[in-house]
Amino acid sequence: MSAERICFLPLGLALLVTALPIAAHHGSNPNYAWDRTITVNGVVTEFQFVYPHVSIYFDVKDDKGNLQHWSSELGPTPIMMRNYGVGWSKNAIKPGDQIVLTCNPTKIPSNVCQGKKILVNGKNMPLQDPKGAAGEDGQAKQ
Amino acid sequence: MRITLLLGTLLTVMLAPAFLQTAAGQAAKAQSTAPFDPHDISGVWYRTSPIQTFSNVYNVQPDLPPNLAGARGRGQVFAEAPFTPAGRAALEKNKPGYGPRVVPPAFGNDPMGTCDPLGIPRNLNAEVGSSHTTWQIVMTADRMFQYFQWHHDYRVVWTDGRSLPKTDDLDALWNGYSVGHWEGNTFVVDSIGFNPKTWLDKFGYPHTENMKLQERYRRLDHDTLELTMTLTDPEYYTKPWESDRKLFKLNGSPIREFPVGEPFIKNWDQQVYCVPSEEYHFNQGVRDSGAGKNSVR
Repeated sequence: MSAERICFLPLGLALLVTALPIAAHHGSNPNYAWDRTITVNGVVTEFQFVYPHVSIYFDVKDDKGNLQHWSSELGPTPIMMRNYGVGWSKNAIKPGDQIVLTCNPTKIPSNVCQGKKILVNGKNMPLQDPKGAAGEDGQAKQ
Repeated sequence: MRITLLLGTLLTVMLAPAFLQTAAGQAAKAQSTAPFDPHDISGVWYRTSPIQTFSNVYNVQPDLPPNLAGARGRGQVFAEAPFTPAGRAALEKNKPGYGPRVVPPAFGNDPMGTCDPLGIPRNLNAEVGSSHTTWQIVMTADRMFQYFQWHHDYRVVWTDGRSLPKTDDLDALWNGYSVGHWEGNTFVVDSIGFNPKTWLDKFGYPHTENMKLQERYRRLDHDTLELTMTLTDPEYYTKPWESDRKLFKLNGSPIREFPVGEPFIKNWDQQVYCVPSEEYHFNQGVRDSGAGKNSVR
């Protein structure tokens, strides 16, 4: 894991972006540290735009220049399939794309995180409904 | 000036949800007076009651430490079921990814994690959020169909007057064998023949193949459907165990549209299958890796 490539956001911003956790339907909620946020830069190797989980796989260079394989869950599929008007589709992200991913890390050290915000080749692709819609209990989830 | 503008903006942001809720509530109230046939419970219904387990009953005096509550159920503790020793032992074998006994799904055994059918009654809990908190009822002359968005599953409730067969005459069925009839304005469904591989809910409550389940549906108004369930399963539960009162709203009701401003119906029939090969891929690459079970490939 590269210290250069992963930075912790200021607490206030971290709390803001984690205010509405997007929880997978049965994926891995207990895995994540919802109160922490990291930002990772990487190159996409695979994008899965399928039910019930949208997931992305990418490579991150560590501080020695070695590639580390990472993965992340993104937004709830049915919500992303509404595409937010920004073009979410199976072709929205392609291998080779550069991403900057802000996400909740796992509780244990790992190369997995829960996506909160993503820049794809510099373009912000919302992972939550910009209209503020949420599921029951105030949470968007699948 | 800048402070006034800031305060004004802040107040607008704070009050807007309340205004929208009030407006939605007034619209819903208006619609709830619409005429309806109490013997017609057809429609796409979405769950509005919380938590999504069979009983949903809170314990009056929580006695579990917070770290035993699930990520989303933190602080929520539930009254226990009337277990027999065998029932409790069966519960302990089930390792859920939610609730007071949560474990990382990589080390759990929720049938959902391998795309096994949820079965009845778990499908009725409409536990999977977002657009799949819905199920649809279609009533015909001799049967009721119930379609579940999750896994694109459905079950049949026979209303042609037949009796339930003997349990011994049935192979274990994922959704059981069901017959229905009307008692006044309540549609009563009796079912047997369940597959014991299924859980009652996402907290891992078990049942045997001899479970008998009764569902009682009542349309409270044009927009609202009530469901209560009672299971009888003497091997695992010392007495009949009642669910909480589950409430559903008719799709298209203005009470809750999803997302805001778009009728829920547009989200219907997304064909939300749980595909084993895709689930395996996800489990390997994300779920299990995040729990330290393996590395990201």
